[in-house]
Amino acid sequence: MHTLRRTAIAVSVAVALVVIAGLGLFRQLRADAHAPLVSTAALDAPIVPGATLDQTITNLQTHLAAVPDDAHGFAQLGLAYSAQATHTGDPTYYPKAEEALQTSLRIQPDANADALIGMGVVANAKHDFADGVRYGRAALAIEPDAAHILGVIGDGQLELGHYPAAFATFQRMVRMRPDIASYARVSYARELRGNIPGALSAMQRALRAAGSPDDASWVSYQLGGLYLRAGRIGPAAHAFRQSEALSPTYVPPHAGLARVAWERGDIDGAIRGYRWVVARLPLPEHVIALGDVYTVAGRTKQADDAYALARTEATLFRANGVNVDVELALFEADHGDAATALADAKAGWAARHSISAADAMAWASYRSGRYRGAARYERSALRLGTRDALYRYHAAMIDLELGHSDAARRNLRVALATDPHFSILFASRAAGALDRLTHG
Amino acid sequence: MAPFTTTKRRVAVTAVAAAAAIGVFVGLGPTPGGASSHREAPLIAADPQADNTDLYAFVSPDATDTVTIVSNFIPFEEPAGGPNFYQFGTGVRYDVRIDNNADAHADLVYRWTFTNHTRNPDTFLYNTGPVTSLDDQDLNMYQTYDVQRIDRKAQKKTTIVHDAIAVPSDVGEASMPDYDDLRKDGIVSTGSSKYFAGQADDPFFADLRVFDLLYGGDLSETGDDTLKGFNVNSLALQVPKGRLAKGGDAESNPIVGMWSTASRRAPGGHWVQVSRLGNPLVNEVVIPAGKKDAWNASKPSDDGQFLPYVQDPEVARLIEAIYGIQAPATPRDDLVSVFLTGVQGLNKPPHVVPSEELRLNMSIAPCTSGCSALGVIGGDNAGFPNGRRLSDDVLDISLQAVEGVLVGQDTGLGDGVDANDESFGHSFPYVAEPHDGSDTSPH
Repeated sequence: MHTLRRTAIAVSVAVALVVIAGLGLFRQLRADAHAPLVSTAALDAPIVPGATLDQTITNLQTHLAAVPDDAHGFAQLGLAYSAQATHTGDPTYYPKAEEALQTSLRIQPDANADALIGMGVVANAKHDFADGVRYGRAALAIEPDAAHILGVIGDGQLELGHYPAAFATFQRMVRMRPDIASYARVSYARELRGNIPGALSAMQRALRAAGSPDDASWVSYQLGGLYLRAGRIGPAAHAFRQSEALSPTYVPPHAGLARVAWERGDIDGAIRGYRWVVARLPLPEHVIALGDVYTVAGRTKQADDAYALARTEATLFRANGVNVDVELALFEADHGDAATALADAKAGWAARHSISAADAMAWASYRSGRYRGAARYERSALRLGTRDALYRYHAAMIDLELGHSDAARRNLRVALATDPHFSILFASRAAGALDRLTHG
Repeated sequence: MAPFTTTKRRVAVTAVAAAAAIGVFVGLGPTPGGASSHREAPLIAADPQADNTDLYAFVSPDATDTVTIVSNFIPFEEPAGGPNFYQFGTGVRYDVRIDNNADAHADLVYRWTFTNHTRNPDTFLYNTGPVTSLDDQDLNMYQTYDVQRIDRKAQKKTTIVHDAIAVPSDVGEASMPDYDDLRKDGIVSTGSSKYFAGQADDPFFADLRVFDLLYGGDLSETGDDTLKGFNVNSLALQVPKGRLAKGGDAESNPIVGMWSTASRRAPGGHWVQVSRLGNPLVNEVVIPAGKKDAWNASKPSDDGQFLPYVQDPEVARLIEAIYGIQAPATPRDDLVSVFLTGVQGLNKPPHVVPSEELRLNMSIAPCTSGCSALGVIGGDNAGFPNGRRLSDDVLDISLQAVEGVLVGQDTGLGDGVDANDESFGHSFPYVAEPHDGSDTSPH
């Protein structure tokens, strides 16, 4: 297994986003209701301020039963389903989302930017990033001044590994509309390039730009993740607590705090925390994190149960069109079968040349005994200069197999200096390996 | 009745509306399967702190040698909006821009900037006990602000208010037993000028459903103030007329145009205007779908690009199609005067470059009798579109203007809401006190 923290954070972020986005709906409508035409939209497709995502979906369904030719309403319904998928971790909403968006496009084939944006969002969510970029571009052709469409395009470009294009898109987005959506993307771009202070500063800017407690909670959670990955437990814990205080029903910061508990050596606290999270938001990354804590606690049976559950969930995601090749490759490389991991990694690499896909190829190759290929892919994973402790650990392990002990020692030092607790399963192994290399 | 669904979308849903509908949801995908390659950020973020709701400008009724300007932000504040309640943006430049020579460029800028303060970083509470003064130690989170006056012509930047304390959100009776006192404390006086930053009842009143019903329905169904019971954050200033007029001479140059903006900084130091507001309802009545972001980023000097939308507003055509009220002949020079140049003989300055600004003729005295919430079309020249008072019924005015009241077609159209839910003050800052957070049913 590799880095759970990455896992936990990234995935729960996704959920967070949707939760927040869900809440944001109402804020947004409220906010814009002052511009009456916005409230028109609200009234038309009866999105009621304060309604939950469930209620919103029900309202839209009712509305669309009465007004079945409302293209805009179907686009909204599609986005609501997509949000629900992320919110609940239930991928069966994606096909529903696509169906609603396709209906919208059937009713209004021309100049239907909303539906195209929705299609782009769902494509990205399903990790079909090439389609995400395509739909985003089609939407942008209709609404060239809409900064948010650049978010769809840039997200897709980034995950395809088209980094210069993605960074340029984010730059254009933030110059068109500096807000938390664009600041957060700039932060991520900086983090990927190894610029942690710059990433923190952009995220702090996002925090100041957060227009509501829910938005601020989401940003605080992001900040917590950035601090964690930089090995700064104290500020991370503070950010997660702030996130929790700002939005008490928001689950992800609790996963962050469970991670903090583990990093501080509180295994029981970590188990309690992750169990609490999993009971409310049973997403694979939380389940895997729980499994890993069980593993290091020596509770193998419970760990295996957790891993089995994660696999079942992955199967469900695939059955609903979500491409989890890259993610599963890493999971299998650490928890399962090397051949399966390599097959998944290859499929992932065929679809996109992102640094995460490269790292998955490297690590699956390593587990399969293909060390030279592994080294090549790991170099690709580190090509942006990302200060990623897990990638560095992977690189070091590959170095060792190739007999490059100086390089291995350097990579281990960087990994542990970046974040001494970078992985529940591997952090202590990394420290042990460095110790042996230095003193052995 | 939804025969105009498609058209309606096109007209009714501004880019932001679309954004609202989408942004809402766009939390973007999952990262299933257990790993994190794809980190998502929201697609559209509400930015209420930079969302300019309304701009008002009027000759101060109790200090007639001065003009009061109020610019409001953060729409639809729920009074019980804990835990952080409502703060101005700290990464935002809030400007009121004054064009006093009618060339569509700002000559003067009044700029507010805010700084956050937290007394006790160990608690996330807004206040830790009853707050009885602005510098009360129990007010845990508070904001200070500066106001700069930027004279573009003289290239002079003067800080006229420094480190003033913004009046906090009205958390509730237990926390802020004498909110009125806090508010009075919050008024900054410098010579004959006054400044205020703080929460207020949203002075805008309207039944926003009217914009839905315009597209098919029964306008007589309206009459509920959609804004009732919501607060906003207000920035207000009161300055002698001469401070605004060209050459300092309000006698000779009484007409000033103005608009407010909010800007945020892109990483790298570049300031980006994210909100723009002069006349009310321009976004709703004039600017079509897909242009909202462009509009908010634009300057009055570039308003030529929007001229066709003013000369032939689609709203008028829709009303004609649905209600059979004939749209006035185009091009609509009457609307050009309301939105872009000022009305001849009232608030149209000489040699005006058409641009969307709220234009005030400062020489027209405040109304004392026979006043009308319909302002100029109600025979009261001290109101909108000659500047805008808090009490002006701009929705009815705009609707009737679009339907041709200025060219002799009086439809009497309206939304059935003719006054605010709270009465306005008689002295600066005039906006009504906010609804407090202990009110369990503010709407």
